[in-house]
Amino acid sequence: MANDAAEERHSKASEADLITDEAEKARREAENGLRQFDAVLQQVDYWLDPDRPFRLRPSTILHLHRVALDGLSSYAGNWRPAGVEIRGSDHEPPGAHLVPGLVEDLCDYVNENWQRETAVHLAAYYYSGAS
Amino acid sequence: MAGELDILIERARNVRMTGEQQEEQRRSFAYGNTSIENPLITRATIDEAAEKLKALANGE
Repeated sequence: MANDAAEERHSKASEADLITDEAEKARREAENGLRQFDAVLQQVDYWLDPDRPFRLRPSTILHLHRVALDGLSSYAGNWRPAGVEIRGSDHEPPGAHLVPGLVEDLCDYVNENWQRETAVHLAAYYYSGAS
Repeated sequence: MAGELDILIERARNVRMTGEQQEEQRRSFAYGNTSIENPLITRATIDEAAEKLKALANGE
């Protein structure tokens, strides 16, 4: 069972953890997950104003990244400066130097197709691009 | 399949959640997003974190 857990697919950044106690880290991740939901709702409320056409921006993604990793990573709210691996997956994430440009491309695609494509399509595109 | 999902999403636009339902969604979102990265996170972990944040917000 322990081996199964170790083999599960999850991302592992090339950096030192800010919290080394595993139980404390889990508690912090849980709190941040709840805070991220709150941050998403704030975004929804902001963009629901009919006079404010939605635009997905890299800064929005970084804001949600900061909320998710606050207290866990010294890179919270910043594009990763080094490589990352996804344990249990053959997928090779792009090099760190490519991330800002790829995220801009991702935002452009979502914004250009906001009226044309379904929410499911855009969410799937975002998820596959952000992974 | 996609068509049915689109219909459900469209229908969901007009659903007004109660506070209790929204809190349930909040905890479900947090559990789904975090447990996939850390198997130590359970629904109980999320519930404890939610209660802690609520107490902090209430100045306790």
